Amino acid sequence: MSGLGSQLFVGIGSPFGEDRLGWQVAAEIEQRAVAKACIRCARAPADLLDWLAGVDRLVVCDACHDGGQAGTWRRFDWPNASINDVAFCGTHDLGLAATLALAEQLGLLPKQTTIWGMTTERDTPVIVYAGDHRRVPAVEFDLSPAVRCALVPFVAVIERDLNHA
Amino acid sequence: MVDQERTIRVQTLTRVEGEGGLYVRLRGRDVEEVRLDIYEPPRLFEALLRGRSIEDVADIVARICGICPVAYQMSAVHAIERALGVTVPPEIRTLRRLLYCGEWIESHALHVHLLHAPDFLGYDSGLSLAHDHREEVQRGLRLKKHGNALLEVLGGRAIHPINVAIGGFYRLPRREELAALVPDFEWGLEAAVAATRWVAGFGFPEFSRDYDLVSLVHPDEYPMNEGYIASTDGLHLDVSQYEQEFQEQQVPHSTALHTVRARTTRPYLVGPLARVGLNVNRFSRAARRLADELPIDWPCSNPYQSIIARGLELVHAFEEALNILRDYRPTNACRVKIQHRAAVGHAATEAPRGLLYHRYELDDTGFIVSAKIVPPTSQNQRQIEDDLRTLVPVVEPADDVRLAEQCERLVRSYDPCISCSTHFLKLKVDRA
Repeated sequence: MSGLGSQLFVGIGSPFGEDRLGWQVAAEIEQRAVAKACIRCARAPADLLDWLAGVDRLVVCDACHDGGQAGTWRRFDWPNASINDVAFCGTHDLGLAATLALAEQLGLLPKQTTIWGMTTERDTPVIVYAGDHRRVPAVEFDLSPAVRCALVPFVAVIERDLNHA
Repeated sequence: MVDQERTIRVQTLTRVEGEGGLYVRLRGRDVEEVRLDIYEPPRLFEALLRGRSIEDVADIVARICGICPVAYQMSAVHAIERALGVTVPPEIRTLRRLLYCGEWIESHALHVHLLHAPDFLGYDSGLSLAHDHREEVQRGLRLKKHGNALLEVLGGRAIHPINVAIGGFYRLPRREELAALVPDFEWGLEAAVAATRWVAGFGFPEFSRDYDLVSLVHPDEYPMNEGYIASTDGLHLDVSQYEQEFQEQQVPHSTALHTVRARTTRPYLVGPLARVGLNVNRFSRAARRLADELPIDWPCSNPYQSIIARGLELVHAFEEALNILRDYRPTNACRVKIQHRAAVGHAATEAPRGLLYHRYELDDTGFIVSAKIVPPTSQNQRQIEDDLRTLVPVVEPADDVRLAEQCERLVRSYDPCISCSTHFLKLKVDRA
């Protein structure tokens, strides 16, 4: 964890495929150490609910699917009805929009909440079968080229957002 | 005067897992047709398993459900172990019960607090409930989180765990990993008791059915992984005889098969209400004490009171888990060795939503020849429709919207997991 103060950045994701985007962004921001925020990674949006005490601003980043081109990004300030048009990648647990709505109802959500979503190419990891389905398949862990190319400017935009809040 | 036809439709059921709807057609006061429409696409898991290594099965079937993956993993490994003649040591057996406790906790805590409680308190969603009942909803979220934490430690991750193996586990937890959970589970036990007292105080509709309750029973413990199949009408059979007593049927309006008693074609009920009804004497100490204290007689025949059964099972799961967490000492071997052979194995375990039956035919090189999976929601579908047929003339409000709400509320009492139930498609190919 790096940074101090009441601004929390959370990257949501997993180690798999393009779902790793949120974690990758968190890692890049942490490594560059210029953002004025506490940096965390979550596997499920519901993890957020435990981290919001004393936070003045929450910034969340997650991979998403909105029909757009892979590598493009969107920014939402909560509340925002159009967030429901975007499918954020996730597990079977509470989704991102539902978690934020629940946090709001519980009085936990900071007054300022921002969501960054980048459209990814694939919504599930690619599983590679080497010609024989009886062999253990290989799982693709990498980002797609389009998302990889967009990662550096995306991180820079989020850092500016964090530092000029 | 000609009786007027009325049609009640709920296109999409809310606060249930998966996608399904309701259709009720009335003529006057007579219910002409009731359908639990399950339109979620079939998922073909039984066919997917054919030709796969037995080592892959636990990870594949876990994907049937994001809420109850452990149940699928447990039924699968037990069935395959029975086929191979493998007996796991007591320490592994205990850890498997612990894993199952984690799943019951996360599933029941979610349903009790966020999915079912709003129905009794006049809210249309868990979100609106959260605004006015923050303490209770936060308690539910925290209880669920502790169940998830247990799945992470023991299963490798909370959703679709990856540590379950034929013959045991791929890795055993360290003693300190489990010991670290003890304070949270001590809190969880007290919170589960409070949650159960809370829901037992709700107002319940007067609605009672003459259920044929079906669940596992075990002479020494509350059933999770093992036992005989029993029912309130006197059934007591080995799991391998399941398909002689229970029969799947295809219906046009559901991508999930219905299951009925084979001899009578009558519906039956699985799930917490059935489990508690048949096993209340096997509860842990705190759960038993609480069951005795609450003003409800078991077996209970009011489906709405399944929320109390879930609460009691939440207490049981926390107490049993706590005892295992405190006493745990790792053994040297995390799994027993297996030897392949051509055989058939059956198993049934108790998923949060009820009895889950698996059968696998294996070849002599360790691959699946055929698979059969009967989830609890498939088994409850016919009973749900039967209950609706009885409920509709009883509530009989003139307002169709209100009637639809009442029907939906009854369905939610079952905590149906529709995604689980639609793993099957019967495909007939006519070739000229």
